[in-house]
Amino acid sequence: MVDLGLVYRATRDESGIDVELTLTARSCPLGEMLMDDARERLVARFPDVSRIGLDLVWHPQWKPDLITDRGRNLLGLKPKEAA
Amino acid sequence: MARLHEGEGMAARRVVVRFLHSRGAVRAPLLATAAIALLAGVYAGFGRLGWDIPHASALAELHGPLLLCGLFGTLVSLERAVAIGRGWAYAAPALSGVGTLVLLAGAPVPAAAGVYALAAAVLVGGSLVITMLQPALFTGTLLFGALAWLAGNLLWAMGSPIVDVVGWWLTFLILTIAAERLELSRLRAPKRGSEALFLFALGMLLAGAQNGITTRNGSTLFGIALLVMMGWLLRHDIAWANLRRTGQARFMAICMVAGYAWLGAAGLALMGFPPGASPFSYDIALHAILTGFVFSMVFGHALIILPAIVRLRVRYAAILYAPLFLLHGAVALRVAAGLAEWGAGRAASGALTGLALASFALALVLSSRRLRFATIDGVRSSR
Repeated sequence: MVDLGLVYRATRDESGIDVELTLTARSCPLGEMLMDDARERLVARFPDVSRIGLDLVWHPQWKPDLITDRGRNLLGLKPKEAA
Repeated sequence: MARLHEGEGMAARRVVVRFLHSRGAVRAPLLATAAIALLAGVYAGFGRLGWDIPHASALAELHGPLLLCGLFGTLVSLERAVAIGRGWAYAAPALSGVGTLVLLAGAPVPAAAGVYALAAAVLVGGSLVITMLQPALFTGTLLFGALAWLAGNLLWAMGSPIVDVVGWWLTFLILTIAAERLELSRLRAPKRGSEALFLFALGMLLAGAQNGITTRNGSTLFGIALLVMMGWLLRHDIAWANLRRTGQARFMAICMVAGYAWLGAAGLALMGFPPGASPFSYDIALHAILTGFVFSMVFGHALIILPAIVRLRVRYAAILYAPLFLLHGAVALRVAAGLAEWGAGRAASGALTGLALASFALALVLSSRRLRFATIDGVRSSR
């Protein structure tokens, strides 16, 4: 999910952790499972954190531009050109 | 069901209540109707092949509707409902399930067809919502697929024979699958002409369905559409790159690519050997598309969709290639038997198809090391 650029926000402060994820398509039935798995991973990784906020967001709309360099490498895409 | 960590009555009641209210309680009955449609539809197919089994003649006519509407209509609607995440969207698979029960109860065909049409109308609504939220060619294609299902169901409800509406049902499935492949193709470097080629195939498919695939005109247009769609898949689909990978990714890619070959074969059959040319040409084209292409895609996707929809943790294992081989062998036998007008071969291909489906289900169960049901709202069963 990270490599596809689907993690829009991942912050931590005194109150807890906030993560915002998106999906490549509104028509994707995998979203629910991905969210549940993400929550499970976060709870396991941060057992002492009192609050973990995990939201599915849709803005801005995901585009292939958001794929990270590592993701591009794994998919066999050309690296993004520097601006 | 989830086993409990604590042994107390209160905890037990809490878990049961949460399970009943959980998504699983809604989805399990919907999937049960799909399973009933699959079993009844396959049984009806055996009847059509001339097997001497009870109720063969009563069920024979329902082979197509049970599988296309009862099984695939329900599954596609359920996937769409999970994606939308709103309660009303589940009316589509629910209505489709009711349609199956109405059909099997022996109600007049227009009644069952009407219920399926309502299911399709809800699917159209859900697909429209998705297209409005994310306007794109792939979401529009899903919408047109749903509209095709609706068109077929309405025509069938109004008395059209199944051979005249099946083109619409095929369009529903082909467009639903093609839309997903189009969506995934965004993960690859874009090549010129992708959308134009896809649109051409989509347009020809709709024209062929409209004219009816049992007419010379409709079968030619539909056949051309299938060949163009296969061309799109050859050029733009991501499965080709995954053939070089290993394990599950490679298995899925092989399922896809084998399916694409049958799509092209069906296109050639519709053009060169159109329905009406021989007693079996309709059968060849339909089963190349539905068994060779659609079911191969189902085999390839089961490892991802089952965990996503009902948290059935199935695992890839090399044994899954055996039912896949049986499936494609069955299609090859059916096509060859059809071309040679060899009735016994055709009947045997039906048995082989049934065996392929049953062995796939069995292989999934066996390969999932510790089959674990997780209740969807987070209460994990102990192993």
